[in-house]
Amino acid sequence: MNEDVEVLKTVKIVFSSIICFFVCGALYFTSLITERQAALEEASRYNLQWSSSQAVIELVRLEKALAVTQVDKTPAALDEVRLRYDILMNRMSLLGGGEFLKFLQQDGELLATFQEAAGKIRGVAKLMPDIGDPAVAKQALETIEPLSRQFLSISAQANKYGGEQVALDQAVLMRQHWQFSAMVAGLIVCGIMLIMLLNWHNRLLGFTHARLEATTEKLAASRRQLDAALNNMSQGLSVFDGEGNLVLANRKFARMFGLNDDIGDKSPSFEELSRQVENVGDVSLVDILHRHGQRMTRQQPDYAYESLDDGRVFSITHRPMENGGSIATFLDVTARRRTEARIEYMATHDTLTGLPNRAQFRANAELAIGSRGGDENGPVIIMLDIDNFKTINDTMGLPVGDALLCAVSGRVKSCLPKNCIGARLGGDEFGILQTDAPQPASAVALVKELTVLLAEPLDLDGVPVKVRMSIGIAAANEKTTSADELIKNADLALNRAKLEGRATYRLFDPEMAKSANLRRQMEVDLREAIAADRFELHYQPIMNIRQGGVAACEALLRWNDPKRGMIPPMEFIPLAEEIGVIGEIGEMVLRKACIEAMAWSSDIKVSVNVSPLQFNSRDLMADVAGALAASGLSPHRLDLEITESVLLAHTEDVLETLHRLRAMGVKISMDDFGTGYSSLNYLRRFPFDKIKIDKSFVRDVDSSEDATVIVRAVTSIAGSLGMITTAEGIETLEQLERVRAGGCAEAQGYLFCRPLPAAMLRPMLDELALDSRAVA
Amino acid sequence: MTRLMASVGAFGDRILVTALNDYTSEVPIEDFQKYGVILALKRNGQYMPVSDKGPLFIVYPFDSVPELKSQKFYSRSAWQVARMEVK
Repeated sequence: MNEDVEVLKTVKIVFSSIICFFVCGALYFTSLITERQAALEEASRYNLQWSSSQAVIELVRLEKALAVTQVDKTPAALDEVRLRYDILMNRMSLLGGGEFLKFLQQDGELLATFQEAAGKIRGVAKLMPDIGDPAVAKQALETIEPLSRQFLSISAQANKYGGEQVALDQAVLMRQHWQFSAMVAGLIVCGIMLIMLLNWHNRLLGFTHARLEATTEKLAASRRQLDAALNNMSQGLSVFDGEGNLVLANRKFARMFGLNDDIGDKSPSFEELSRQVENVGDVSLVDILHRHGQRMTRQQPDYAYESLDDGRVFSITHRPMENGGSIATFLDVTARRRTEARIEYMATHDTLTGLPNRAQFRANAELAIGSRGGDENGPVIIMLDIDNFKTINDTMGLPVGDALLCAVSGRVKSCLPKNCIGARLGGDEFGILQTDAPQPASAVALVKELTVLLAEPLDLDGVPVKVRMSIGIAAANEKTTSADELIKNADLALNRAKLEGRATYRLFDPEMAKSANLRRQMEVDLREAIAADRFELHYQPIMNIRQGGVAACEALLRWNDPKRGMIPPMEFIPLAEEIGVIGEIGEMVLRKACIEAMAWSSDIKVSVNVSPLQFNSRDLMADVAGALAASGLSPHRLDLEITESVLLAHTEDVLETLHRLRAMGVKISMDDFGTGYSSLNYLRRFPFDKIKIDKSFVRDVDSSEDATVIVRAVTSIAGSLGMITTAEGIETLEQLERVRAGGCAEAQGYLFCRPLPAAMLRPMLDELALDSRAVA
Repeated sequence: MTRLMASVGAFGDRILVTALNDYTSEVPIEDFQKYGVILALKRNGQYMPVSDKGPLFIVYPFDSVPELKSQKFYSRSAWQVARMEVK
């Protein structure tokens, strides 16, 4: 563009120059013409030769008149002489001045000749009075006669001078002609240049015009893009100028307020805009617009949320501009707000029951603890756990379990007063946060009420279920610093309730924390014991009470702790299962038992207890195979004892493992039969080799006829299914006799032998082989 | 000259002027009206002698009308006028 401007400037300068040249040319032309005119005048003005030749003629006429007087003495002839003389005198005076004199003065000789002649003619004047006298006339004639020759010579000179003058004039004219021609040529060249310049200028203008059009088109395209961008914004956009007129508004803005799309093009004032919104637009937005008007008067960026009664929410930003106007965006965030609320609800609530979840419960507890007074009305956390929920879930299916959870949560909710918040903390665990009530009495009262309410049978899928819950209560005291601590305390109380028989509640006691600490210590020690191999196996013989002799020895695990002494498995196996080290311990037990059994008589089996959790890890097969291979023990001498809980979960996998073990030749026994569910279904699902009747039945056989009947029934069923039975916990001869009578093939108990370390077992085995008590 | 023409009752568009020396010149009559041409008889109160352009001299106003300064009008401005013939 700058180049164009430069070029146009140059063109202008050239233009001006040419026009100046034209003006100068015209002036010069005028002067040339004037000069030429003058020259032409000069050329035609004076005819010297004519004047001088007239002088000759007039001289000759005077001579003739004088000559006439010689013969004609009439006055007319004399008058004629005087007239001719006067005419000649007139000529002489003409020649003696003006141009002719200038001509004469050019040549001194010529001037002298003329003056001499003039003098002679003047001399004739004094003869004129007596001219009638022929002698005088003769004298006059003689005086002027030679003069004609002189005048002729002057005339010839004049002729020559005139020719020269003409030549001179012609030269001047010729010079002027050339100047004229040059001038015309110059003007023609200038004209051509002017035309070329005009053409060039037009072309430049054409280019500029084309470029201007392109720029205009580009601007229009930009404008279209801008419009497209503005109209595709999700926000309504408005720009007001310093006077409060709406100078720009996108489609979204117009539609949001229920106005025509072209509202921005009309630049309405703020008042006009309000009026339109009120009359034809969305009336419910008028207040928002008015509040925005107030916002516009403040010269600082701002944003706000505006909520309408119909639930809509708008996000509005306002930014003042330098020129006094302002730019604002309006966004309908209703959907976003709803989603946010939904997300927040989902993040803080349990989807199944609609109760707050653990995170929300924890946050509420934190809040309650933070704002608690120093009195005994501090917040309380009650934790509830449905007893045997897992069993219900496993046996009746997940939908029933979920229905149970919903029913329980419904009942919990229904009996909660306003100062309580209920929550589902996960699984079958519920929590209640109670505030502003005298503690722990209020919590205990609430728990009792809940227990009564929940004890009413629920109808689950046609099955009436009585819900029992284990409950832990922990009240905040002045030392409580966090919700986590309070939740942990309630959890400890809950665990205590579970441990102490379930279906009950326990208040948190600092002693529980101590036992929890002890448990943690035990966990550390247990891990250490595994690393240091502080376990040993004791063995209790199982007697064949039909043929006599020792049928097998059950391996029983002992933890020999340096601080605590010998610890029985009941006290640490649950912990080992919980902290996930049961697999290692189980493998170790299998390995050691198999090696030890190799030292016994080849007809004595070794029984090893297997935890249900060992089935969860797929390594059990490998562990068994490894133990057998390492020891060289025959598979059929290994008897794995499992409890029915093994069959509760993951049944297909478990059954497959059991079948494979059995295919290897390993025996499988059902341990502790008679406790728990003792479902006969389990017996049908897997062909056990042996059933061990729990010692709780055996204990009663000598006093209760029922127990004897049950033993007999179990033995009978087992026999029918091709299984033998072992009676556990035989302590007296009478018990022995009864179980023998009941049909048990094997018996185990203190009557025969206590569990013994391996070293003490071997001599005992020889002794027992001859034991008369074992023989019928 | 206009008055002279009127007083002699001249009809025609030009006059043929003949001088004493037989010089002749044609003068259009319209010149007289147009330029105010005079027929001089006296100069400074004195009759002009033949020896000084007398007795009659047709005079154009050369000094007040510059366009007259040309050979055309110089030739019409005849002196020593002897005869005027209206044509």
